[in-house]
Amino acid sequence: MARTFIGDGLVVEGDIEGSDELVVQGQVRGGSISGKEIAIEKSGDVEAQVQGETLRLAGKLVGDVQAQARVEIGAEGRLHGDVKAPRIAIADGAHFKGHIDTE
Amino acid sequence: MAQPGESIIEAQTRIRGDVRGKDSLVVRGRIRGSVELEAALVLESGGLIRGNVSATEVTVGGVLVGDVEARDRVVLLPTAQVQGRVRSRSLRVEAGARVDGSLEAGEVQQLSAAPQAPRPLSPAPEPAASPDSEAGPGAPSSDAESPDPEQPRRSRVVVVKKRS
Repeated sequence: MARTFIGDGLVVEGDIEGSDELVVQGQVRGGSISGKEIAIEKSGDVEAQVQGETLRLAGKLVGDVQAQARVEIGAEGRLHGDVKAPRIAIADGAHFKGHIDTE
Repeated sequence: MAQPGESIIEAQTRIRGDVRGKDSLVVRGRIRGSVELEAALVLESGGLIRGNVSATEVTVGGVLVGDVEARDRVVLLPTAQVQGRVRSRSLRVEAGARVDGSLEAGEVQQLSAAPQAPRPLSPAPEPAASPDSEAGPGAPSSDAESPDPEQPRRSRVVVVKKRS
């Protein structure tokens, strides 16, 4: 499967869109990220609005999230922003500050 | 697929903004913005970058609109289309690559010395050179020896022609 991979040595200052699968280990500073399956891994550090089908967060995210299917915040995930998604899982140990909307 | 330290922008992905870092990067999608890497950049066929690019090594098979600066080398593959100024220590342009702009190879300090060395582009004069014209009407034996001291290669060409 075609996937876009932002490695931990990379910084993107801008928007990323259109990926089937987007894996972020590096930094993204921008307006928005959109794609189908989005994963922000442990070393990932993102400041952007996120829009996708699913989001898996194991790193750090500052920004609002809108997911059509599911948002998972792992034990080491840190999210500062509002989440809108039908299903949300927040693991024990995760940091989260924001509103949740599951409608 | 992705090796450690190698990032990938796949074909469907679009980035609007600047990309920088120490990872090498493979671009199959589109970037509108500058790319600045302390590593290699590969812009594959089908990929597009609209912005200036600087990296240790740049390989272009896609479309690049902007200036390219590479510390080590630039390779323009047959599918490459570059619009801008390309600068690198070494430069390889493969047949089919299109460049609308300028190409500069060599280190800046050495640029003045470089132009003399690389290409004595004088294959054209060879066939029309004096030995041939002399050979027809004049003495065939003498013309094979006369150019020897200056141009040993030419004399060999003449000998081959005589045998055939």
